[in-house]
Amino acid sequence: MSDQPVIRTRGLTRYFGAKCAVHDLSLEVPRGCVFAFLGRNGSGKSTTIRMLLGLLRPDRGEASVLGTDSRQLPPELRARIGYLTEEHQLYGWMSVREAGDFQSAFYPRWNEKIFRGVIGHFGLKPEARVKHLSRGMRAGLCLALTLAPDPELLILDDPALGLDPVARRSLVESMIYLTRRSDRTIFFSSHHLSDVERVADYLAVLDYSVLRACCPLESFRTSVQEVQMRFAGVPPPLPTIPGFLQAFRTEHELRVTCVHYNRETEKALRSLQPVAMEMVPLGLEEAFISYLGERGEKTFILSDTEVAS
Amino acid sequence: MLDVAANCTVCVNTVTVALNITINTGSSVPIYKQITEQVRLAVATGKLVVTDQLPSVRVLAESLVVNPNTVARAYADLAREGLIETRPGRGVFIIPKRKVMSREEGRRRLEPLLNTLISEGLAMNFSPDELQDAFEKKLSQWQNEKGGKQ
Amino acid sequence: MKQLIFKELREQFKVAVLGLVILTLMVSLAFAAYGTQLQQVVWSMGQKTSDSLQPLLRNDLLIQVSFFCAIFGTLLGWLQIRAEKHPDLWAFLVHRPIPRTTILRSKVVAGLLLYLAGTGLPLFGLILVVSIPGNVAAPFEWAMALPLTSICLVGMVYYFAGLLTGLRQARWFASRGFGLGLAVIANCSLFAMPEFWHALLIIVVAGTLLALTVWGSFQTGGFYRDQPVAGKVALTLASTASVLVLIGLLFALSINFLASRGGYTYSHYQLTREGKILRVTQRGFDEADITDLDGQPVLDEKNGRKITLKDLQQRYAQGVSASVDVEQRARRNNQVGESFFNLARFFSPWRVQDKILWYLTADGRLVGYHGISRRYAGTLVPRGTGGSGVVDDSRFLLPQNYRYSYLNNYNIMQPGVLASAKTAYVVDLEKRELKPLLTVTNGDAIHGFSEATSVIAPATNASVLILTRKFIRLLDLEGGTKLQLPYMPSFPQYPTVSVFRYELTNFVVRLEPDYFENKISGGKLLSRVEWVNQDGSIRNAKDLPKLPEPAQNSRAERFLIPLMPPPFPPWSWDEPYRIWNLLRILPAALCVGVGWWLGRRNNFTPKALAGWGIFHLLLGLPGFLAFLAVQEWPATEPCPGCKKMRVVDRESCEHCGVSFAPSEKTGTEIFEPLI
Repeated sequence: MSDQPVIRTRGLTRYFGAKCAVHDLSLEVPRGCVFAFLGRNGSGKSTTIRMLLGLLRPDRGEASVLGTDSRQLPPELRARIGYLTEEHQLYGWMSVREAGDFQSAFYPRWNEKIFRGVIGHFGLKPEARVKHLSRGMRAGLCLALTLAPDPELLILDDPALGLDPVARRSLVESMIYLTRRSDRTIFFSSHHLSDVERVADYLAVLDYSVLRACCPLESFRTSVQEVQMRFAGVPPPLPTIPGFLQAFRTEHELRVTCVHYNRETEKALRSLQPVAMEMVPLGLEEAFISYLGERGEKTFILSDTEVAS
Repeated sequence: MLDVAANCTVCVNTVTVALNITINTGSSVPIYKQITEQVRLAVATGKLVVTDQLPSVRVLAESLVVNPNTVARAYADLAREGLIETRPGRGVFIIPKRKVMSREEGRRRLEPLLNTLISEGLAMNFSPDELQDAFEKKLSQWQNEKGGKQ
Repeated sequence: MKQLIFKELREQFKVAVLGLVILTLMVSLAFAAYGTQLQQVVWSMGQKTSDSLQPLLRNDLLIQVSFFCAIFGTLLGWLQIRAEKHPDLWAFLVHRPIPRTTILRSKVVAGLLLYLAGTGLPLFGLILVVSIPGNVAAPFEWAMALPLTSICLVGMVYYFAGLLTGLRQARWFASRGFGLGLAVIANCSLFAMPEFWHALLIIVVAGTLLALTVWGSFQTGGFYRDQPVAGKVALTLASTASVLVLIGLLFALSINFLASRGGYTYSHYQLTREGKILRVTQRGFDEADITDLDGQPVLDEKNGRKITLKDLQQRYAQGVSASVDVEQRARRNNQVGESFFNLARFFSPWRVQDKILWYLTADGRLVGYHGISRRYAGTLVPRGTGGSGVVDDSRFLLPQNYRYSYLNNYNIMQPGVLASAKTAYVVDLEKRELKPLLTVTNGDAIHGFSEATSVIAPATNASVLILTRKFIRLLDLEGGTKLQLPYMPSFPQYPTVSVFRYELTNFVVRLEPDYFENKISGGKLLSRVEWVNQDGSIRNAKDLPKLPEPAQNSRAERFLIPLMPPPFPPWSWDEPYRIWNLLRILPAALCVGVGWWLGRRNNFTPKALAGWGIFHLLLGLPGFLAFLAVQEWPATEPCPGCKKMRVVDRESCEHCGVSFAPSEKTGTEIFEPLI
């Protein structure tokens, strides 16, 4: 049981109208890890998550969570899955305490201490009305409601969306707190790479509905490589480079990012005969941006006519 | 429960030692490397000495707000280097430096560091002599600090 | 469950209170309107009144409450779903460790509680007020609350329709609201139900069907796919009902607007003052065609032109008409008046005298209520020896106009005569006395009577037509016989008798066959007219030729026929439209074909294919429209194998069997095992 992946999808596909939102997604999330699910807005992360939870029917393929087909998650299993929705929607008329009481009625393993701890951590007063809470506070409350049932699998759909840095830090702390038990799994999507860098073991990247990367965090960073080349004159045009992502061109410089830098790549670049060539290590965020940014060549040198005007 | 993390977000006070580690996300240096480097630096500068206890993986992870696996990896690297040792039931301790690296290997690793120092220094228009002076000054300063602490 | 119920109650509380306030206001206004109406009736002595004198049975109230309950029920259901339509809130609701059925049950329990509180309280209040003597100057029975109760209960059907509307993921404009069609049908059929329990049955059946659709849709968040079979079937049926309602509306509109030139053609016979019988044929809205019995147009003597209906109306013979066994016949002929909404099943206003309103109750008593104090004032019943059924002489027979006066019009300004099975009385309300007018003997019995106020007798002295087992008698109010002749042919074949007077001393007696009996005899019973002398001897008699059945001659309607489901069984075609009915089979066959093709394409199971096939065959185009509307049809995209458009939710292409291509590799993939 324990070596079975907590989440497994095979060929998961979903259309909205004629538009494909998730295409042929096959993914396995091992138990006990923190898994970051990345991608640009509208790349299909939320759709995937909603399919995982059986809230949305896949058009093709299948998804299973905790070993059970997502479409038929029985209540006992739902009790073991915590799900934090994207916009932290809650019933506005409830107070924080009422929300806790409401939620606790459904979960046999409800841990009031965790609930109090998390809302205290986010500075929430139990008597405050939900509709008067700030976005960060609401996120905190949602998180408390999600964490207090002590879920085995925590699925967070962009939990940091719209949070200020302090609330975000509290969120990350809470996530790390959850990993105290090694059998707890967190699957979350985020746009904050610094958070991802802090907490994630693995990451997967969706690029326009297609899964492009799924690997340990460090592998991703090291797979994306930037090479800085200096030329005596104007840099020559680029040949076809395997794994090419982006190139920036300045007067005497050419910076190329690519994945899976290897001898072949090096040979292709050396053939340009640069004066100097240097590998520049990338941070996770830069790696991510070049990975998902627009492919191709960019330049900051304006042509003469543009300068003149 | 979460109060532990709340009270010491960046700085950890363990029983024996105050350890200041700063994590820089978004840097090109991975977090586990940042930890190992800072521990190494602290040992090198004498801020940490043999028998000093380091925080447990869990405590350090929560205080730095990073994944415990990352801290564990850093500790594993440090242990492999022979800098620290985990004593079951008691914690993580700085141990006397064992020679885990051959002289040869050390030289090989030193090479790029020196290269960086020299090339960056020259690029900033220091003359080789000035660089040498600065290097020696820094070296004696470190030796003094270490001696002072002992 | 308790938590969820409380949550729903808390969230929709305001709506329920709003509903309660509005309905209370409505009910109060209706009660106030009743007061005004009562004043008018009391002070203007039996003026025609347009609404019931029992507030519980008032048309305006019933209609208002009907609309209110429909809207309130729908709104409440819709809001309960709408409040959580946001995907996040929906997820927050359904992603919890209890079955969705339990979640829905909590919603429904709370919703129905609120609905019943919002509507039930004001209505129960009204019933309570009305039931207390002194508040309403009319007879009261608890059964009078049944129409209002049924209207209140049918709102629960609307409630489920509202839930469904909120849940459904629409495919076409307004197809979310397809549950409402069934509720509308249930609501409308209420008014035609003979008894309350029929209505209750309809409410339960329609409510259960819609509850099933809601249950099914709740499992899938409003989608058809993946629903339990029961939910799918119920949803399909409800949607078909809606499509049928829509087509019905189309029919009605087209008849009203497109085919107004056509309309109905119907004819009847009319007697003139001169004792002539004319045939009047009305074609749609054209000028009526007036001919004599030989079919020759009737000309105006003065100007020689064709006579118009307006002219003819000036020359109608005045008469009095009575029917036998009003109650039994009405029941047998299944008239609309037999609904439990019909006020006449309780009482009919009879006369106002000295500020006392007298009502003739359905069980044959004359009951009075004081119009000012609204208190019970007294009862008049014939002093008879009893008996059973129609020969019971201890109760009043119901007069000719009783059942048709369910709108409570006082058809006769000041009626004065009532009859039991043995005796006809002149009712003296001042002395509270019954003066016998005529008593039959020798096993004869009175079966029907009617009063005429006008020309048939000298203006001061009204005439009474009395039909007994054996005789037709016309009397004046002093008991003097004006005309007496044997009732031949008699009922049950000829239950309606009219006596007209012409040329001062002569009478025409017309005997009308019973519609139902006539149908049984194959239309052989003809309307009979007898010219009678004052002494009762028959001078002349004539059977009037059979008139054609009223016919509809709308062309537009025929064009709409193919929209209807094919006739079932196929040999039960309506005669007039035989050829057009053929056209109802063709679209059905077409629908079966197209449905089959769509089903094959979308990977239907053989069972589903067969089921839909039968469904289309039975329901034709409406069924097909429902079929298209209830389901989600997946997108299509070009197949990499055969380039034809293929549906996206099949693993392999339905044309060439090729599976989908994996996403194109860009060479930038980073995949590493996760250790």
